[in-house]
Amino acid sequence: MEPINPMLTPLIANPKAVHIGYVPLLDCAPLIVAQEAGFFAAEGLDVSLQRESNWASIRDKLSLGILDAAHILAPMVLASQLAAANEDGAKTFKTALAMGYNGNAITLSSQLYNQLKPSDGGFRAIAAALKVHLSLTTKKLQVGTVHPHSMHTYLLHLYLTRAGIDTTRVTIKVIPPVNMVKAMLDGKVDLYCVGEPWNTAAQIAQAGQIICYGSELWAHAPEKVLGVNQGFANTRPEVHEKLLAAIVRACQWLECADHIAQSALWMARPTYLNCSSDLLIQAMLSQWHTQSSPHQRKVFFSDQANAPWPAHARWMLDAMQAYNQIDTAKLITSLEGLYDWDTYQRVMTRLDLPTPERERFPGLLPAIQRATVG
Amino acid sequence: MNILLIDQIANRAKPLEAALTALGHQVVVRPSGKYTIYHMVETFQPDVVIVDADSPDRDTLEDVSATSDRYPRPIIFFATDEDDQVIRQSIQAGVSAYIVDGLQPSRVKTLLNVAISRFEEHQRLKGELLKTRNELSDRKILDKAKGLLMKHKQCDEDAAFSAMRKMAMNKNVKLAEIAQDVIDLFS
Repeated sequence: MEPINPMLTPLIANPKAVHIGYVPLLDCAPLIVAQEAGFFAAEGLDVSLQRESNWASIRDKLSLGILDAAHILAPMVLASQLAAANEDGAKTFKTALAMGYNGNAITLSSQLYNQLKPSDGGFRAIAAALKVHLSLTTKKLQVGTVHPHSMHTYLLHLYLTRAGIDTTRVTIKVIPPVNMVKAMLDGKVDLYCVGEPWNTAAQIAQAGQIICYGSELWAHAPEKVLGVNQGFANTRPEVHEKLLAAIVRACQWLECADHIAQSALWMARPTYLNCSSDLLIQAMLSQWHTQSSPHQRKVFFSDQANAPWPAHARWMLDAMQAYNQIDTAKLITSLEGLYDWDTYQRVMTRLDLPTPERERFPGLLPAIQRATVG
Repeated sequence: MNILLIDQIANRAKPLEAALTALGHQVVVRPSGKYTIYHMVETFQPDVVIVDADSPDRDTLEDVSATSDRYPRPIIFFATDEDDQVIRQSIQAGVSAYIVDGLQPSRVKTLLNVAISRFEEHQRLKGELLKTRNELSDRKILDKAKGLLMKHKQCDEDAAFSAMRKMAMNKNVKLAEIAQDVIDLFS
């Protein structure tokens, strides 16, 4: 045998190594499960999961390739591309996999909820009472979201529209999810939209009441996607596909109610969410138990929840325009490079799972009403 | 300058605060996640914000710079584990200016200047882009108005254009405004 020439060894130190970032929320579950249940290892990958405390940091590191992939807010993929097109065309990231539908809820502070005295706990009664409350005061409703470019922001707009509340009567602020419950307890925010476990946590702390599930506003709403650095996807397509295959397997595994306790124990660990597993179990139980009802919450796998639907991307671009976040969506001429359907399709075929048709989105798209220009 | 310093690591913030104060700046140090950023920005009106790259408050700061004309201020980040290469890349990509952990106070002034000039460059480009866009839409309006005039007054392109220019001169308003009036009138 010839001796190995060290000059010919590949530049990548470990060809199986992949760095993935996540924000500690319940919906990063597929990544933690893929790691702990061994779905990444089964694909021969050596994944390191890196916890990040804000979306801006995830986005920057993903753009620069410090992270190969990350759990990220779906609208951020589009917003970053628009920002790059506006400036110097810096390298960005794309997605070939959604990490599920929904999972958010809207929570109203207990203090305000008790003042409202709605006729019942249903969506309509509370929304009507909230509208009456606002008509009797000059104070603006203080509303919390997690980032300007998030489904949370758009769901809040959908809620306000359906409740008949004028956006000029509210102030929307960005509050990090970890600080949401405290902000509500301190009276800094009256109502917020956030992912779990921060709605369940507010109920446990008696700081707030869940008044609406994201799925009541839109049953097949986008939420997080797996963002991948463009350079990573171009130079290591095989690794990219293996990564997606492992995550799809994890999503499938997560939909079995028997796996709740195990996944909560993994996620609660100090290196991951660093919280009580009881809180996670409560948040997850309510998710699974309501799955047959119209208040279906987080969906990790069913109804082709992992597809990078172009219908989602187009809706989010419309929302960005309607809510005055961008002046034009024309800069994104094609979604091909951003919402990578072909890679998704190859992964599904490889896993022997049915692939839907690209333009046959299984749900309805909620109508967007333009926000008042303030 | 007013400088807002947000950091949870006190012994990192302290020497930096001292260095900035020595340079004659007003510095307010605030631990991460304690009070609302909106309130801080409103009351203290910082010219520069220096924040821990790992602070959850970064998302709030993004909203502050996106929604307010008065506060698209340069923001500088502390980073703990990035090497020089990464910092250079980030600055090139316009993401942000990163300060490495264990920063020498003597380098503070240089970094501040780099961040501020990058910010000003960014603002200039943004302004130019806006101007180009406005010019482009002015031209579209003008073309549409010309077409409408030609159709309704049955004149040629030159006549339509000089009619509008004359009106603009008489009224002492921009040509694009007259064109918009024409469009409103005929469509």
